[in-house]
Amino acid sequence: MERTIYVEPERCLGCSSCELACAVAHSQSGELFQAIRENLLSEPRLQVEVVGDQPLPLHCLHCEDAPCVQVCPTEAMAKTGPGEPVICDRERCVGCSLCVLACPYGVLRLDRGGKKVLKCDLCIGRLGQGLEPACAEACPSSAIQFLPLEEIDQREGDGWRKEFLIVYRGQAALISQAGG
Amino acid sequence: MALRITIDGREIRVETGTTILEAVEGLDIHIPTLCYHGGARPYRACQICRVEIEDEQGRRRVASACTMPVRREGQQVYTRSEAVLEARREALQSLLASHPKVDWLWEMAEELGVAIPESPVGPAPEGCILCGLCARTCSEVLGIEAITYDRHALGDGELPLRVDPSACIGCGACAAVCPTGVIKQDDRDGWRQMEWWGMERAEIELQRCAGCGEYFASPGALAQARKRVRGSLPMSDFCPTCRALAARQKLTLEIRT
Repeated sequence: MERTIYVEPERCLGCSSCELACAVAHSQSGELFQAIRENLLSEPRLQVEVVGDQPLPLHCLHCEDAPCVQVCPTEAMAKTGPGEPVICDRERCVGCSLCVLACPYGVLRLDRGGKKVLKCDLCIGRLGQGLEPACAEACPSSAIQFLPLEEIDQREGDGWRKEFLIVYRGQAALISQAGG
Repeated sequence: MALRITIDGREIRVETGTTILEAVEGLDIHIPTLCYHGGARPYRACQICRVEIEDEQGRRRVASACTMPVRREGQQVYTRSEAVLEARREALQSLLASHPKVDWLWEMAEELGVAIPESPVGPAPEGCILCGLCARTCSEVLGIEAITYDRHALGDGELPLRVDPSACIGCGACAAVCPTGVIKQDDRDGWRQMEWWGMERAEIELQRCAGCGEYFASPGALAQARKRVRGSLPMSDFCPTCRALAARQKLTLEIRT
């Protein structure tokens, strides 16, 4: 069944568990207690920011016609097909920050050393192993969930989050492939 | 066309024309590199990524993995042979002799067991090893040509790297790719300060976010992003955080109502 990331902002506590889980999932070892001792400290690919008094996890939306892909001079940033996530090949990234300046949702950042961009890869490695994206798994209040599309449809109908769900829906094809 | 080659006794399949460095990607075979970057054209400037390859007659020779393509079925490649280690030691020794202040070289020397040069020649306060990765990135990858590489200057004993500070867009890619960290970028009080090899400098006034008013981008880099994108860039006068929040503002407003 096709599943995708679904955010319910009103449930977010601002605890940053998603950020921690993301950083650990993208560390060399993948284990918290080893990750904190790695030379290049891993950093999260999403941020929790506060709007008014409402904390919100800010994810990459994996746009269909992504500006970050268009501006990348080395083709490090790429989408391999419709419905698939936008992935950054860190080996090719020269740290020029054009994607950071182009992202209309403002979710890209350079890493601490300013060398490479930090980019959500939808945890495709974990999906291949039958796991959920690390942020969704770690969220204690289910503000970030990894849900079947049908269920999201039932919940939302033609509701106000539709605009965002359309973008999220773009991810579904790959998830169904990775999950078998 | 796919070819079968053997690297350190391991048989792998690669496409014709793949470089040896690309071929070992994802394998647990480590070929050290210095001036290589996956996003820029390989150049074999540093000579660190040396490997040994065997031709049809079984003759072995040393070559640079970053530029040497795989062309022949059944080719043998060695990445840890004595000849390879010797070639890497030689390359390192000459780099160390002229650039004794580059920490990375000392770490590498320890790893390869290179004898420390007795009398390092030529103080190189700039720490630049002339690999030209900054120039390749600026001129070829980004097409800015603020940093250029002039090979002929080497013969005249001059620095072959030229920078035109007025052409710099302040994107910071040269500082990000420099393997020895001798190109520096620092944002202070609304100015981005670029410094190349401790010799050349540029100051670029940063643009303020239309929302929060924080300095967030060099106008030149922003113009590059606008030029490269198809159509327009919505919200590009806002800093990333304000963009993210604006996109979500709608969500929270809806929650409240």
